Amino acid sequence: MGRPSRARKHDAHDDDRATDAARAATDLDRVIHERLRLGIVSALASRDSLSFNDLKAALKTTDGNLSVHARRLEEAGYVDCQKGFEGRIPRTTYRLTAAGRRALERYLAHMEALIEAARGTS
Amino acid sequence: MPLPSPLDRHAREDLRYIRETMARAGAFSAVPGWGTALVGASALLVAALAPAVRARSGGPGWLLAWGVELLVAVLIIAVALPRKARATGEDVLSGPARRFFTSFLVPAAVAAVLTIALARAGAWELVPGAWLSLYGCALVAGWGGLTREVVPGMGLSFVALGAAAFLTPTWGDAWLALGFGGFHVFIGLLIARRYGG
Repeated sequence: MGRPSRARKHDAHDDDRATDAARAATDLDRVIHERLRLGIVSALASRDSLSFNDLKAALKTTDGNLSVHARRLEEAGYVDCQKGFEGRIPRTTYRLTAAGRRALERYLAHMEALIEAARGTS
Repeated sequence: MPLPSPLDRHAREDLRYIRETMARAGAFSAVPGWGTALVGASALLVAALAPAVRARSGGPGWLLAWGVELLVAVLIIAVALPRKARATGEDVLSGPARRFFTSFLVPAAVAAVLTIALARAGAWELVPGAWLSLYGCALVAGWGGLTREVVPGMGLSFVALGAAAFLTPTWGDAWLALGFGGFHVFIGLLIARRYGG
């Protein structure tokens, strides 16, 4: 005995949502999906620029960790790094590039899509 | 087909993490290290002179000496803070900065009223405890507006010093020297060393 067509339509709609969510999950930008890199991009999105020490304090991480992940973001073109001096003390400053800001916006849209899809199927 | 819940949970956690990181990084952090240390040095000078002033001119003279110190401290910070903010690319009129300064307003007003009341009652020995406690409360209240992790710690230390000053009122100037002098010098140098300027 077949199921009513309305129930079948509902199931199909849920399947579409789940497929969208699965696609969103696989389309995630792996560069900023990593937790610390996501933190760096988020922190820089809230300010014009941040020094290495300020970023380290905001993210509660170590020099080595921050250096590695910031360099990865720099290589992806998401972050711009300026090295200079404040008096005699070396100072490294990071800034989010336009590509980095777009990447964060896309990532946020992905997360919202996942949540929305989950809400639709629950 | 139901969506696996860990995916949804992960997305929510990511969004929360982004929000919290943005709030932390967007907070006001232009606390001037050298300026704070200089405020501490001027307070140490006044604390050294205050007992002699009090012996000669009594409570009102002592209050005047610390009043002058307050003015000097405000002037130092008024010069140092915008300089630090320029160096760090922050706006001293931004939301977090305004919240931080606003957190000082109520404790400052209460400190002024308490000082008048205690002075009228002739209870000069209790004034240092009131100042230190309320200053500490203001720093702790400004916690949310700061990223400098040392500042809330300093606030709690001032509250503890205030309690000590209430319990040992004859040591008032020594507690003021330790708090407004020593703590400021120490924290200022720490900020200058860790975060620059």
